[in-house]
Amino acid sequence: MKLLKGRGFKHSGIFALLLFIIILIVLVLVFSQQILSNISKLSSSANLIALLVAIIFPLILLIVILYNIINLIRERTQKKPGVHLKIKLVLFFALIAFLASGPQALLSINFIKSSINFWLKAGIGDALRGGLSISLDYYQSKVDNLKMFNKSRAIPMLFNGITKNPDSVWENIRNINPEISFVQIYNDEGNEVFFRGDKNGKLKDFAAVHNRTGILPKVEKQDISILRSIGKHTIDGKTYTVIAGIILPAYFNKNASNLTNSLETFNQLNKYNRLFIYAVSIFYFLFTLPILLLVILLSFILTDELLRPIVDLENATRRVAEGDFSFRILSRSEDELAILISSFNKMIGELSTSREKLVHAEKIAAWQDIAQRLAHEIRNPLTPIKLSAQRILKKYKSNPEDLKNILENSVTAIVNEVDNLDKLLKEFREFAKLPNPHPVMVNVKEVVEEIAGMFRSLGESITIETNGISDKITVKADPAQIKQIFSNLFRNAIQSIDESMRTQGVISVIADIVKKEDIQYCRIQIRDNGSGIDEEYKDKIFNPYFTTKKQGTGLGLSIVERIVFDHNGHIWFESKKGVGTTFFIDLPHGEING
Amino acid sequence: MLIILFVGSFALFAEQLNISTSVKAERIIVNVSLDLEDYSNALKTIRSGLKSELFFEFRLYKKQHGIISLLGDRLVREEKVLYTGYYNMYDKYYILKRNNSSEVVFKNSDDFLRNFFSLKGYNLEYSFLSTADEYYLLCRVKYIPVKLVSPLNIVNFFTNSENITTKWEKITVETK
Ligand SMILES: Nc1ncnc2c1ncn2[C@@H]1O[C@H](COP(=O)(O)OP(=O)(O)O)[C@@H](O)[C@H]1O
Ligand SMILES: [Mg+2]
Repeated sequence: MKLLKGRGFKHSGIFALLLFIIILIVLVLVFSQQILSNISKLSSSANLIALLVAIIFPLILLIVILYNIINLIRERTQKKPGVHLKIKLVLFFALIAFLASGPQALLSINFIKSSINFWLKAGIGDALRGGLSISLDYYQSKVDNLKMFNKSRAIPMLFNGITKNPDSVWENIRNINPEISFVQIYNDEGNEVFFRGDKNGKLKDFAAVHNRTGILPKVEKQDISILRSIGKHTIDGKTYTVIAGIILPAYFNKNASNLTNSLETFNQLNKYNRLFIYAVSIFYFLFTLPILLLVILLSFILTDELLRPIVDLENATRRVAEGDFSFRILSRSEDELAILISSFNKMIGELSTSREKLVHAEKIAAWQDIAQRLAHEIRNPLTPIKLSAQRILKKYKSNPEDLKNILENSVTAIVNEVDNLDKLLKEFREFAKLPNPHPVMVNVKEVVEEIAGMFRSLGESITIETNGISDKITVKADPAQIKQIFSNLFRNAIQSIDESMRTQGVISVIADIVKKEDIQYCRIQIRDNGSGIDEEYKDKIFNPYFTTKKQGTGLGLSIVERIVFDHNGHIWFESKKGVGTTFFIDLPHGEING
Repeated sequence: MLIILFVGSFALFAEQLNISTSVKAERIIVNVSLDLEDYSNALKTIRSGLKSELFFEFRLYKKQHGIISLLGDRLVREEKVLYTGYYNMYDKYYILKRNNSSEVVFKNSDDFLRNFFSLKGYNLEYSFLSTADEYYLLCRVKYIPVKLVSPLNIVNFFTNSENITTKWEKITVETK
């Protein structure tokens, strides 16, 4: 039994591709994270590489897909099984992928666009700018306050007695200017003589600031900011350095930087908003395109895998339809298709056995028919033989002298009938007991021409055309039997043409080599322009003793069929009433001479 | 012994890259400055609260001779200096950050601009610099007026119409 291999799903290919898609998605995510966080650090060569990858990778994919499409078109012109379904499935997959990604891209980009626009229009810019100007004003007021304090003419008076009664001095300062957080005073020699207020404001390194005046740069310490102003003042005749300071609240610093950062972002967004959406669209496209292409590629592979069992099934069905019941499909997968395939195999098995039974029954019926006909045919001459014998006996008994008169007639009749019987039995034996073929290489053209010559010498006025046979075509066959085939078929062809029309009759013989499932056959066609075969007789003409002719035996085609089968060949015919009949014979091809 | 070997002055479109190198002991000292036709926009950008960046890129090559020279000259060293400049609105001073670490503060905008657009006395240390070989230095400057925050910076992938990148300028370093 031949087994048609139904390849199981080639999972590895699909898995590899799926893995590829997943890796690509991860890469996209990582890459986008990376570039978004520090794009400025990427060198322009890295930029170039990224762009090249973004172009080359999809290009390679595109080429592979194009190759697949060309393949598909070629398969279509070759009418390979399953190709239409394949095209449909691929188109369907591509459409689904496109439908899934296209609107999503539009939606995402639109969403980004409208949310950006929403934020830009919601008055956030004004709020940020307002907030910034308020905080700047607040800060400026502190700075001005400190400046004013250190320029104030009242300082020498205010600090009178810093050594004797520092606490009351501090109290006075606080009363006059409650915003001051601390005051630190150094003498000429750089020694601290006074400190009151928030300890955080205490300056440790006087040398660094000793010859500066005015506002010092703001100092940030942990989460507070310290503003200091320095002034030189003469108190009680001596010069002192007065450092007054304000400690800004813990959150000020953080909020201020948040505010400036937000404003920076906002301004950038405002300025680059269109460009940004444009860039996002391009990015989206660059990252989606390869994924889309991969999906299409996947659809090609998947379709192949999906269709394979169906194609196998189609193949097998076709072979069964051609009469080859020995096929079974192997399937390793365990899905619904496997069930389908196993029931197909079962069906073919049952079909095959029932066909065998039918053939057997037909054979028996045919033999019964033959037996009946044979009995009938034998019986027909028996009656005249019996009658003649009885007549002789009767004459002999009643009038022996008269015997002479009828003896010759009767015995001649008996001999004739026995001859007839002999002929019948001879032909029957020819049919029933064909000798085993002794095949040798036979040149088809030579055989056909020999038989044609024989018919011509018998005075048939028909044309036998043999130009359609290549000189070199040979078959491995029994020469006598192959001659019998042509002789029987030619005779039938001639008989199918009305006697008055014989001169216009043409029998043409064509022979060529065909290939079926790796085996070479010689296909011989015998075409006539005779009466054709009635539709109702078409499935009977090969039956033994089936004939539509008065003098026919009905054994001609049976013999031809037997010989063809004995040579492992195949015979069938096409016929159209009133147009003609063509018999096709496939015989295993020997080899081409020369 | 300090020999000024080369003072290159290369005209670009509207900006000009001035480079000078000198070799002292076993190091190359580089002075680079980028002259813009008009600094007002650069200042305005920074004053509006945006950050600007300036990259100085250096590549030192050793000239190859014979058959290996077909593969190109050998890159001995590659260095980069990044300036970030921005404005503190509260205290009204300009800040120049170098390589995201050291910070210099300027009250005066002219001082700031002069310092921002130039790199003075940059030290490329090469103890292996041998007198037997020929060296040359490639230098270029990239000026990014607006340092974009993420994710807006993807814009940089497709347009740098505002950014200025000078050509690579070649300076022969003579070690004799
Ligand atoms: N070439 C043909 N054209 C038309 N009918 C044909 C042809 N060959 C065979 N037949 C039909 O098939 C029948 C059976 O043919 P065959 O077995 O040779 O028996 P027979 O020739 O003795 O009738 C014929 O009686 C005829 O009806
Ligand atoms: Mg016949």
